[in-house]
Amino acid sequence: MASTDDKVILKSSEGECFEVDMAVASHLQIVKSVLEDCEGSSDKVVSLFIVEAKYVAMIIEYYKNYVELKEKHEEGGFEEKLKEFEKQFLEQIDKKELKGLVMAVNYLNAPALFDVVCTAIAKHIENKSVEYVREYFGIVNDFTAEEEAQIREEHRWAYDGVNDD
Amino acid sequence: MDMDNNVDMFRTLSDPLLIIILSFLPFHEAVRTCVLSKRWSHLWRETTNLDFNENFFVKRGANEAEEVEKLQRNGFISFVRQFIVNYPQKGIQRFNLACSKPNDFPEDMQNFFSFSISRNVREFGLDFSCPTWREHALDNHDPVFELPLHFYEYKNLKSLTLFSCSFDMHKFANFNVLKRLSLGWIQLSVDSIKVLLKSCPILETLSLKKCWKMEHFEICLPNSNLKELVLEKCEFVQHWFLFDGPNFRVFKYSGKVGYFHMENQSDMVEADLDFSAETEFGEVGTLLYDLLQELYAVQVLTVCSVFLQLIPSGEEPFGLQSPLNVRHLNLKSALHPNEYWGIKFMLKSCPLLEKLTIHIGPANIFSDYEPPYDFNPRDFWSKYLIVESCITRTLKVVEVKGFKGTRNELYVIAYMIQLGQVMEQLKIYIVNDGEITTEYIQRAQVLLQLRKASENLRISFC
Repeated sequence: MASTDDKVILKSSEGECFEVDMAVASHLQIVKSVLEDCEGSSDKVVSLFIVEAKYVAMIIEYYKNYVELKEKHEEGGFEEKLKEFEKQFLEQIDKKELKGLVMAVNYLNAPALFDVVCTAIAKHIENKSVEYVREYFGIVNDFTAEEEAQIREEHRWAYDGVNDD
Repeated sequence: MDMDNNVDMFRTLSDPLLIIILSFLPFHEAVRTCVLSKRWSHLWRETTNLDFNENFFVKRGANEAEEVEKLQRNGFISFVRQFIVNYPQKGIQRFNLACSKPNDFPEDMQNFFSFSISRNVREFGLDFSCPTWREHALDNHDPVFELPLHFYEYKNLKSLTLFSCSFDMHKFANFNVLKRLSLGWIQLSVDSIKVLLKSCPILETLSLKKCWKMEHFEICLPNSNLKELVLEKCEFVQHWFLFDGPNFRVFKYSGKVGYFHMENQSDMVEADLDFSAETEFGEVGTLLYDLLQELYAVQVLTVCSVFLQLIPSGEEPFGLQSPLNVRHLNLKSALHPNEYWGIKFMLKSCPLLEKLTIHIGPANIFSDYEPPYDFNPRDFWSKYLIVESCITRTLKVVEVKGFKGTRNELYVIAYMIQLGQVMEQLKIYIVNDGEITTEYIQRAQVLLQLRKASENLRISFC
């Protein structure tokens, strides 16, 4: 097994390489299992075939901070500090990147960041009007007016008390 | 990865992934996505976060007859019935049910239990209380439903909520991976709490709401894993509270003032104290003073109007002898002159304060309030000032929620603007009251004319 001092190289879909501390990379389950499969081999390069460099960088940034904060706040307060960081982290990401990121994180199987990204997407649905959600995510309404009215009527209880945004 | 500029952001995401995202939404919000497009019309039926609440279906207006209510409740139960019959997923994260007449549907209740267990539920909640029961009233309502015996055999629960549902605490030993337990609308005793905590050794959160007949409250348990305790509007024969063993991170209490004894709470991060149940200005300031001293480590503290009125009548009128570690202070206040001394007291006691949030709202204002010293509310914030060190040195952000621009509100906010030397942000949330709102906004403009003590201060209205 690799010690936590070790480094690993993550290769993006374009072939760009990122050298990362094992302590950071081990949060990506896919990296962990690839490395376990080729235990003993000196080759520490993991290809993340479908993930663009931009997302590899984001994911590394997230887990680097995660690991650092965890070390620094071992005595307590880690969760609060992490939340603060997550807020800043999400502020830099636009909605297209959010989609790319959720696919990348899902593929890499990185639970903590996956929750963060899913929560961020869900926030753009929660407490929003149907029109807002369609507009924000670019969903094309393929219902006829009658169909839509019928569906709304069927689940009328769920539409009471919405603050339109 | 496909990053084209196609309008539909979800187009390339798979259904299973969308279902995971939907499961992060409250259940009724997930249902609402059915109307987005044809693709979405059935996705919600697979969310793993199930929360069935009759209050969405049963409208309790004064005009609604019992018959109507009954019909609406039948509609609700048949919706749940349909949902679980057609549910395609193998596992669920959460199953919550709120229904005030469970005994009208005995067969369905059994089905809901079987369904939840068969789907390996992690978080399970039953709320059989009725929304018409009043939380502050002393009339207690005996539970009408009992947790079925076979449910205790199910061992995978991480979180359990039981409101107005009776249970056998001696069988809780099976729930040994339980991390969160929330009980409400039930009679409990100090001994039953002891049994519960021993049965659930890794329990991290215990929340009791509107529980009654407890002699007092104590948790004396070495090596306890309990991190969060919430006591909400419970009824105690004697209001004394003893905690020895658990290192709480979060402590929330709402109810009457009592005697609190906490052994070394050095890990506590957050505390919320709500004593709005107190109806008269009694001699309990010392008890609050002592409680505050025990919360020395807390970083986020929330106190209510009653607390602010009572705290200066304790041991010291101006502040704690040994200061607090609070960085973020929440005041639930009416900003009434009765609370002025208490607000000063808190500012003085929090020399490291970085953020202050004032939630303005109605409060219990004591007519028999006695200030520690006579004062004139009009010049309290401007004359003979002793300015607290947090105001000149550490306070960066002030938020005022529920702003209407009354004179009292303006006095307090002006104090922060004119003396807060390191203030960076003042955010004022103006109440939306229809036509009068423009008047509130005008009053808020006055604040922009004031001389700011900090060059970096940005004032914003929302």
